[in-house]
This record gives sequence, C-alpha cells and structure tokens, in this order.
Amino acid sequence: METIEVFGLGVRTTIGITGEDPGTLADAVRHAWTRCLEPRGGERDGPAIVVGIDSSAAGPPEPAAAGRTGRDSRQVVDTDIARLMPRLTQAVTTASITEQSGSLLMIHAGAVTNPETRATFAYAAPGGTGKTTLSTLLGRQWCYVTDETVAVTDDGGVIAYEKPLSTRMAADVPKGAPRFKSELSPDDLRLRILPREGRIHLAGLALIVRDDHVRQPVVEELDTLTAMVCLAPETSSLSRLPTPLTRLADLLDSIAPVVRITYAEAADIEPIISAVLRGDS
Amino acid sequence: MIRTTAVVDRYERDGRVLLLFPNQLIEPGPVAAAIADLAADGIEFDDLVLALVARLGAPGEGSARELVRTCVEELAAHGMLTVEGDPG
Repeated sequence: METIEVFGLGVRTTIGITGEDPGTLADAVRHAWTRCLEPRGGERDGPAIVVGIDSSAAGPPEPAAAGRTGRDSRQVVDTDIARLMPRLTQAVTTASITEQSGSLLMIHAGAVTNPETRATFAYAAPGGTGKTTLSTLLGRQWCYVTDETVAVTDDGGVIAYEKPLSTRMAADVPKGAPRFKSELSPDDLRLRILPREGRIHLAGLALIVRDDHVRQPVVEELDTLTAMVCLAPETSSLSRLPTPLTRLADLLDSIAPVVRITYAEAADIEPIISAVLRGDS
Repeated sequence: MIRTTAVVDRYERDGRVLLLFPNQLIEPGPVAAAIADLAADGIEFDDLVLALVARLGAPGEGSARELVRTCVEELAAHGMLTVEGDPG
C-alpha cells in the first residue's frame, strides 16, 4: 500500500492509500497537502490513517459519523473522492489535535504571518464562520499559516498547519483547479508560502464575528480576563494543559490587545489585521 | 449536599476570578465564586447560607436563602455544582 506522510501541528501523520484507483487518490492527496509534505523539524509521530475509494460503500456517512473522533476516524472510506478529501482533512486534523493535547495551546483559528518580522496574526471563530474566507484573502498578501487550528508553544511560538482549504462555494474555486474542488491546495489559491526556516510567533489575536447587518467593522478591545472567557470555547483540550489559565493569560498579555471584530465582509477586516502585521501603531 | 464539580484551574487577578471546568471557563460573580469555593468538599445548604453570609455579609434586600438557592440552581444547571436532594 502506498503511503504519504503529512506534517502539520508538529505531528507526522501517515496516510495509507487503498481502495479503487489508488494512483488518482494519491495524486489528489499530494496535491491538496502540497505544503505539508516536508517536515519543519521536531514533529512527533502521529497515527496512521487509511483512506480509500470504495464504490460499494454504503453511501455517504451519517453526519454524526463524519464528525466522530478517535480511532474510528482513522479509516476513511467513501464512494466519492470529492467527499472523501474533506473527510481525510478532518481525520488528519482531529488526530493531530489529539496527539498534541496537553502539550500545545490550540485555538480554532486561521492565521497569517509577516515573512519579514515573523509576526503572526490569528483570527479565532467557530467552524463555518469565516476563517477560510479570511485566510484566502489575507494569504495573498501575507504567508498562509492555517485556516483551522493555531498551535502555540509555551514560549509563544506558532506551529504551522498549512492544510488544504475546504471551499464549499463554487465561486471561490479558481479557474484551472483540479476537480477535487471541495478541498483546495494553498497553491491553487495562490496563497503566499511560509518560509521554511525560522520561528514564527503570535503577535495578535482577534475573535471574529460575522454579522451581515454591520456596515463597518466594529472593533472592541478586550481585557485579558474577558478575552480568556471569550476565547476558551475556541480552544482544544485547554483543561489538559499544565496550569492552563496561567499559560493562556501569559500568552494574551504578551501580544497586542485581543480584539473582537464584528464584520460583514472579509474585505472590511483585512486592513485592520494587515495594520497589526505591518506594525502600524 | 451541594458539591462543586471538579475545578480544573482557578485564576485570579485584580479581584476577578476565573474558574476552568472540564468543558467551560467562566467568570463567576462574587456569590457564585464563593459558593464554588465553599462547596469544594461538599456542604449542606443551610451551612452554605451561613458561610456565605459570614463571608460576604447579608444581602441588601431579599432573603439570603432565596438568593443562594437561585444561585445554586443556576450553577447546577451549568454543570458546575451537583446537588443531592432538595437544595434548600
């Protein structure tokens, strides 16, 4: 069985390719995960995930099964490659987060980096509320770090997770993208490449809230304790870290004030985040 | 018997307190924070009311028992306290 190693969130995950037309599936996986095929160093060994197309599989999974975590998600089979690819991404993400639980502070957030200063800005939000759209927009000017989970070490370093971006709207799919269009490589979207060398660090953090009714983005500065309470639902396994609240407070104290940005369109928020990345006062 | 669900971590700054439970982080008000503290090892309702009045003083208006009962019910509804029997 052909295997492909992917590296993200400081974890090495081995993907075993099986089922029908494994060559096509392997190509699709390599294409979508192109930014994750080389280690950045220091990765810990994660699980193996076996993935395959099986046209006799009993239809798509139930929603609950698709979101299942743990060992059940380490075998991913579907009848359709377009449906399989996001499920694989979900399985790799879940397995990597589980692997780093108790070690890294993990926030459900997208992030981009200024390649000159290595300053990284993260924007936290629940799934399906704008992280990918914002990553697609900001990633053309700044380096793409992730659209899913920002992992922070105890000294404020950020571990990249340059995963494929799940794009559900046909309008977001660029011309010439492969037919596995639900899962796009950062290359497909022409997102800037994060330099391989050097440490990146968290410099700013926003909680983003989409609201179609606001005309201009509303920016509220949050004190550290309020930010902690607002941010906690967007963390993974916070309670498994040693002294989790001290660690979170120390991190937030070390960066620019956390802000909550309520916005209608991603384009409205871009100047606010870019100003922080440029170091504008 | 009223007992605080295991608090994973506690953080205090400038007179404000945060309590981390396994699945949520809250900033309780002074009464709720005191209840969580006093019920850490389990406490009967009547003893809790007495301990709270001793710690925070009697409420400016209304009954201390009613105030504590409401607060206990709210904390229990959020999974932060377990209550065995009638809370009071």
